Amino acid sequence: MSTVKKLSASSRLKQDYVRLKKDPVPYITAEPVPENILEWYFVINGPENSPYEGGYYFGSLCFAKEFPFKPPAIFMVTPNGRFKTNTRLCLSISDFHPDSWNPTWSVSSILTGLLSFMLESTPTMGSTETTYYEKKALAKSSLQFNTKNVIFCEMFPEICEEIKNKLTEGKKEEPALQETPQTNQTTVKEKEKESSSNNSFIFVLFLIFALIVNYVIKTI
Amino acid sequence: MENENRDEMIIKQQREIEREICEAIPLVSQLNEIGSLNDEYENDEVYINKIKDLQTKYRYMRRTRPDGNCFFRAFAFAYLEYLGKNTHDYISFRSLAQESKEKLIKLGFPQFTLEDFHDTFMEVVKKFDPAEISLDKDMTEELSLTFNEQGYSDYVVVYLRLLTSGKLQEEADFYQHFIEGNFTIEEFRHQEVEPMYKESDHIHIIALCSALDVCVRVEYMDRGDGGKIKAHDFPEGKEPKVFLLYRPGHYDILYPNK
Repeated sequence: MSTVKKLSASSRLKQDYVRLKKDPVPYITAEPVPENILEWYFVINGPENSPYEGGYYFGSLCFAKEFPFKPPAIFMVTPNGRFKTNTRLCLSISDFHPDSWNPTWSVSSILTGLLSFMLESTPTMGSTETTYYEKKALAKSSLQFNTKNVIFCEMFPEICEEIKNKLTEGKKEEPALQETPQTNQTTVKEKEKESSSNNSFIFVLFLIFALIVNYVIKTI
Repeated sequence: MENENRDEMIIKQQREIEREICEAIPLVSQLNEIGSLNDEYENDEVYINKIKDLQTKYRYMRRTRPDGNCFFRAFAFAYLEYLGKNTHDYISFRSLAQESKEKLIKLGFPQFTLEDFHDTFMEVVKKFDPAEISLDKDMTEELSLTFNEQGYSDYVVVYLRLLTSGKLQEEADFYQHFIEGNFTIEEFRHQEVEPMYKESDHIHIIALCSALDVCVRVEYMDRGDGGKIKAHDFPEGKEPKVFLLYRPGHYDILYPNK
């Protein structure tokens, strides 16, 4: 008759983890710290057709031992142009709003909520405002930024490897990029030639016109 | 930067207050004499008279922790205590509770987490099967243990909140009339019913009683004139199975004189 099963944040988070592995959230990878299931890290892959495309955004979730009755704190580590870094984010799914938190929300719904909020531009506590181009630039620099983060590389070795490969590929591509302006220059020269030939053609027409006018005047 | 520090401090302070309440008041207390209420209202004529009136109808009470979940927690405790002694009602409640899961999933609640809450809720319900418990004393003790263990207690509260929310959605056209302000039923459910620690109003009680087909009597004790407490049954015209004491902002459990 007495209590058989222990109901706690960690048992529920373990279930959430199994669930997340079985049914992953698009664009997001998340892992709890092996020795403390209340502490999770996540990486968001910037979705296509967004200013975050190509970027990797690293952050953490801190669950209270009252989870799922209280929401977690959410932090971003990688500069992203949407959220301040290393600051508690104020979302309906974070611990800034315990009064709108719903205990049926799981780790998956928290992560989904975070991503959809990132793709919006509604301001909130912990958000910042940047232009599209600033976000694009941050997406690019996020690769280098993350590989320098020890926790990131420890928690997500595969993603870290993937980023390092992308960075070395990027370096190889750079010389190739420098060649392209030269080809551009040749086309510009060709265009100049075209336009100069056009000019001489107009000049000839004008000359003929002048001769005709001259002839007409004389005949009168 | 200063703002952020202040927010952190406010959060910390709130946690501190919550912790103090937790340490001072159990989730559900032992039986207290109704007369124990007098200690809270020394020299307060209005309340002293009303407590006297309350004593003519009720003998004991159980206090619940004032954490915003008191209605749901008090209801669950009192109703399971009643069901544990009434085989017929227990059996119909158990099958209603069993079937409620599918109903809520159909209404759009997330299956995975809903299952988690439903499983625990059913586990608690099964503990109080009259066929399994012969002594009233054993049952009351088990109820006290279960409801004072935060995990079980809160899981039960969440499930009752979900049942209430489900009922509001199911009969949205009807309940819409009870909502004040510019809330839609949808917003009201997400902001005032489903989150933990949100206080209950008449609409919560009406919806839950209707979802579980049970009648609750609430005795209202406030500063109003007349020296008498006012009883209100939800819904009217049925025999109440659960008795609660309401003081502004809070619900406790009542035990009628027999």
